[in-house]
Amino acid sequence: MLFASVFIPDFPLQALFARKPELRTEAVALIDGKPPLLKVMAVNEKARKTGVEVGLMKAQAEMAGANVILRSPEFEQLAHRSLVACAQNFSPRVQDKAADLVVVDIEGLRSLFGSPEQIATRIRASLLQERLRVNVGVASNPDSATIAARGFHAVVIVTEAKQIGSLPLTLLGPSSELLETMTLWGITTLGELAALDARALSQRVGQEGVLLQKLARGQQVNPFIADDKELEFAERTDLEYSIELLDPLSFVISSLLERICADLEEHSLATNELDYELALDPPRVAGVELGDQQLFHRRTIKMPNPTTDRKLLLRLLQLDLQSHPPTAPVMSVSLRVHAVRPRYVQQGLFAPQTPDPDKLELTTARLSNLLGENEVGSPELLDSHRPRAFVMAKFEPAKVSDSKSPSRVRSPKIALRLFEPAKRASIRIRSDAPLQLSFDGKHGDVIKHSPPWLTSGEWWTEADWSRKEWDVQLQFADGAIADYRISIDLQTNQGFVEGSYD
Amino acid sequence: MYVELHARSAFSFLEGAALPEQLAQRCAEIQMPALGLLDRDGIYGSARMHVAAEDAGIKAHVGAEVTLANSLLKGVARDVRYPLLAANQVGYRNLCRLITRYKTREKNKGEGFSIPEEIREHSNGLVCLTGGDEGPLAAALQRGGIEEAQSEIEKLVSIFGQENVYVELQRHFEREEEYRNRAALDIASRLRLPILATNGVCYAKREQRAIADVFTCLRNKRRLDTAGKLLCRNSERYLRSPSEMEQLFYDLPDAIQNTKELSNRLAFTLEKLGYEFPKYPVADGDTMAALLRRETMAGARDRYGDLTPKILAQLEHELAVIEKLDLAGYFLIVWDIVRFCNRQKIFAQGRGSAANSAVCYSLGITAVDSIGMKLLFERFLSEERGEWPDIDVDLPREMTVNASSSTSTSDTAHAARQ
Repeated sequence: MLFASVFIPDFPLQALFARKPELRTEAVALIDGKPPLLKVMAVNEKARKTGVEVGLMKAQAEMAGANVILRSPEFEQLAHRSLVACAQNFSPRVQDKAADLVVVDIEGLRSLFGSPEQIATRIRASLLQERLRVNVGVASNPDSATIAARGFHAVVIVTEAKQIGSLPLTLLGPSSELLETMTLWGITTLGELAALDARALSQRVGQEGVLLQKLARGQQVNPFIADDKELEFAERTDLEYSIELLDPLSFVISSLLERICADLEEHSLATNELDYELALDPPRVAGVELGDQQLFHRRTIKMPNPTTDRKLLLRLLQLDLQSHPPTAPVMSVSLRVHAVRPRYVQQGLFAPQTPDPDKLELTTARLSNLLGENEVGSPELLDSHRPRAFVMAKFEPAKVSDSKSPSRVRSPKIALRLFEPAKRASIRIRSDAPLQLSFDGKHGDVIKHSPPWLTSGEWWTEADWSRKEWDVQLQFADGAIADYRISIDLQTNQGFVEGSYD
Repeated sequence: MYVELHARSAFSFLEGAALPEQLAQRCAEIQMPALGLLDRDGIYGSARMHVAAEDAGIKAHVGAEVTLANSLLKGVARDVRYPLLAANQVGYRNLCRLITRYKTREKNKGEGFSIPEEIREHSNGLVCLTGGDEGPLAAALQRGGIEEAQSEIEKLVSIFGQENVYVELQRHFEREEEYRNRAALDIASRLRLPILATNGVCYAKREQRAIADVFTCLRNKRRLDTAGKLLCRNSERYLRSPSEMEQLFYDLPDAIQNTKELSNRLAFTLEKLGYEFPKYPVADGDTMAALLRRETMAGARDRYGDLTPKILAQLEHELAVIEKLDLAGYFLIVWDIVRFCNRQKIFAQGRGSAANSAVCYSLGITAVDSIGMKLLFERFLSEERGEWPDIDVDLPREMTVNASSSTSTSDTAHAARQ
């Protein structure tokens, strides 16, 4: 087996410089903590030369002339994502060990990317394009590769344990007690630790010493467990000032979508579902606790066809925001998409033209915006005995086949034309049978009727219902005869004409 | 007068929502003289129904819905069930054997099903209805329309006989059901079969529909709000009164009339199970009662020496009860087993309530002098209780097979094994 360990030294600083490269030439001190106890947690070489050290207070660092910058979790997250994404471009077997470290299984990649050294160099070059300077260690086990990546600069191929023998013992992260003991013994490097007698070491310092010695001898201690979590395509940005208007918000969303779409394309994927979350800044009243709904605006946009078209996604999101505007200014935006395989459709030569799915999606979104969300789509029957139980499902035109299906001879059937909504009617009933009917200003006598059909349900809710239905033949005053389906809501005693038979 | 001949109790697990007692009580309330209980693949509820029916003063007909293999009814995904009623003892025996046959075959509980050959083999004494939603008529109609349905009913006639097939009609105010009823009437007319109204009862009272719906959810592992069309369409599968049914089938009075006629035809109830103990062989001209008397008296003389009037009176009383209940053969068989054991020097000792009998003591079955100990014979056997006696005999485990297989007659061996 062969593993490459990719390590970003000075991770918080590098994450900052990757996003703000102009700072690289300045003396920068990163601070962290809760005000007013902000302390320096990382410094670059230039700042170190001015006397700024880790642990100084913010004011002290400023006095020394360093550019003091607050640590950015967002930048670090982006840097970490770049690290993982780069590793995944080389191998599907990647273990995400820490924010600044990933281990990649590079066994069997020779024919694709060349020798282990070439692979390591390519990984390093790839991350350099993201303005991240990494160390890559390659070894036959992930622990040795990690030690090499942490201990050496640039690229190192470990073929035997003595290569890491010169590295300091502190690299293994021993406990302070063990480190003190080792220092007393004069053991400061991995090579010196490796040379000790294992049994004697175990007797004196216990299992921790034995484990560290194994690492120092180039043996594997920690197993390699490739991450099997799904790829995640999400972006988030915190705004410096809250935004109230759609246009500036669209600008922010557009940049996030651009990154997501690029990420999707890089993985040869697309999306048909977009979740967005806006953190809101509602007016606050002292003593009043705000609920989740007042603090966040969450929506999901679903599309029938997978896409990576940023403009289309942006337009759909804008339309959704127009029809469902947030209730307060927006402080941060989070986008997350559900990745699916892209759609590949081979159009038939003789297939009838169907509308462009993306345009169709935009059109239905516009119509929903205009008419209301539940007013556009295809009606879909619900699994219920309740008559007319349906929901408006997403409009998806049926797939058209260009193969001609043999024409089938169908026997004529009676068609029922349902009135939507059902027409209110006055029904006169005697002995459980309808006698006369009035609706739409018309009056008719029932000359024939079916037995009553009874349905009832949802007795476990407050919306329980029960109704009686008949098929009737009516004769109107002008002599016309027609067939109808009528019903009575047994809860309210209201009569209805449900529809007419052809 | 209407009699409901197709009802399910809670013994149709998660299908029936009323206990047999509730059904019987409801029958009494609505003055229905009898009820046919047809639980799914079993007659589990019949015993409780019989007792409850006796208390309620009604007659309990015995039957079951017998599941048929799906694979033989292609195109219909669900089970098809034959509603069968026991007309006589032969029918009851056949129904029990038929169900036992496929129940002992099933790998998982509730998955057993019969096959047409088995049903044909056990059809004697059974009356078949064409069923409701899950019956063979509905399945055949769904599969191939009216022609297929007619062919299915013809098959039933060939199995059960012309006079033992009734075309069932149910009315729950459902459109699809009325379509089926029309087809059923058409077929009944073509094949000259009697029609029979039933309500396919699943619960005693209308309000128990809620329980039936909850059971449906449990059976299908759904919640009420996701069960959809699995639930009942309405609340009409309750035990309707005769007047309600007469009104509902006002246009088909024969369907109502035939329920009464069929109920009269169904002579079998659990009261007349007709079980007889194996007979003990006696010489020509002799009787089991006489033999028992001779052996008892001979044994008593050995046990007591002089037979005082008190002893004689007790023995006469016990022998009279045994003779009246026709149990002489049973006592002789147990006596034969114990006698064999004594000959073979196998320890055999009667125990339990049999020790209250002077006849058992005299026959050597028990070792307790019930007269001397003043034990009450009626605790063992009573004419009023109407129960069969239970003589327990302790035998060493390894000797049980020997004793059961080596006794003097095959009947004795059979009884000993039991």
